[in-house]
Amino acid sequence: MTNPTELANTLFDESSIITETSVSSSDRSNLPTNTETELHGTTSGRTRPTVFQPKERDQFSRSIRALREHCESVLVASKQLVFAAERQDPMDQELAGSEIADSLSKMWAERKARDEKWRRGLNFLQSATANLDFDMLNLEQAKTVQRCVEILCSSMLDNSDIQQLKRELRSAGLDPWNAISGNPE
Amino acid sequence: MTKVVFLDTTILIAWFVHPQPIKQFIAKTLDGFNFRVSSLVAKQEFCRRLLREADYLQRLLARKKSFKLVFEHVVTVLTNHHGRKKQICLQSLSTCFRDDSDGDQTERLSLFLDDLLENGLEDLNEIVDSFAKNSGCANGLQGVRRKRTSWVFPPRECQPKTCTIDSFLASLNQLNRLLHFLSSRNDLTTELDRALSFLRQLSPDCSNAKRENPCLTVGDLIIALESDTAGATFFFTQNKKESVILCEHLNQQLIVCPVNPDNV
Repeated sequence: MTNPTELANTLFDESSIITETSVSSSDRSNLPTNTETELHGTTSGRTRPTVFQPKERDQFSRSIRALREHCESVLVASKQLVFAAERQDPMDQELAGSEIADSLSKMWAERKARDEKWRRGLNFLQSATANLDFDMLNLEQAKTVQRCVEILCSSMLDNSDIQQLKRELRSAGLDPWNAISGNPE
Repeated sequence: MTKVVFLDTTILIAWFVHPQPIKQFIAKTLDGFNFRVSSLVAKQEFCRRLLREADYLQRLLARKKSFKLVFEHVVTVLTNHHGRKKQICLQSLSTCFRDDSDGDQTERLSLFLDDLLENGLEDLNEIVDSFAKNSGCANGLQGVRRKRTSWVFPPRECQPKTCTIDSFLASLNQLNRLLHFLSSRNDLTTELDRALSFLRQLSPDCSNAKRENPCLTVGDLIIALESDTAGATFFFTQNKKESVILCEHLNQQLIVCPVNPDNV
């Protein structure tokens, strides 16, 4: 099992952040003049540096650090969920599940620092685990939740990662579309 | 022995967005089959019914910039009177994420709709092992594609230059028998009445078929024929009224998935 701290640290690379004041006029023309506080991913997986105002940069850095912490928390909680399922301890499963839901919520609050694909992945995972009885999960389902959390906390997500996440959830009987499923009329 | 089940459009849609008991019923039913097939016409109906609704909601979201306003609009303006059955359940989102702000719920819905439009057709491959392509329905082959910030759907009408539905119908040696079978019934629904009219006016070489936009006007008939040529001996649907008659003729066993989750 990958160390949660290492995994969370690989996620966010602040060195790609450039502030306006540090960019010379000759370099400026080579950079995308994007003032949104997002880290963009390209299809090759490399990040494109984004130009920020200093205040935005600070806010962005804070979000990145917060996301790292929440990633660590959710990875640890998912590990605990599996351990609890192995021991068949429903109370500990429920506690770990609450921690997972809480961490995912906090990650959602910091989502502006991540790209659209990552937000999709988080949205699906939250949808599938909304109102979930974690104490009723079997070991395979607990492991699936752990794998999905690891996918989410890995580096840049592309479309194939999102598809894999949905497949994992459905294979365990969890529903990524839960939040828009029901009787529409 | 290979048990082949055909999944019609209602099952494809229900697997995505219907209540959990229905989805569980579908999963449990499909567990009993080796091979699951669907068809091009079912695929184009899926695009027309579910993905178009997703596109509509996405445009509404872009205009109103508020989940709450979109929800109100859908409830008050899109009544049954407008003849369009809603598929996507906005109530569920407001329940699942009841503590979220309107802005957050707006973004969540947009993320779901984006993925449905981008990956919905590919996701069907999880539930369907193979799509029968004998009909050559051009709209079913085309699918949905992104063009800058919007989505391009296949047209509702037949694409006369590329569609080979006429050849498909001409290749079937059972159309006359089906015509006589439907003519002998006095319990036809409106849709099957239309199917009977369609068969009656079909020329011997079926060259006039495309003019009637059969996939749009008599979709149940075409899908039934596709299921037969796909070798399906079981037909799985939520739509019992037409299927019970067509399955009788095609010697298929009908499996009906309830529409009301209380009936599961």
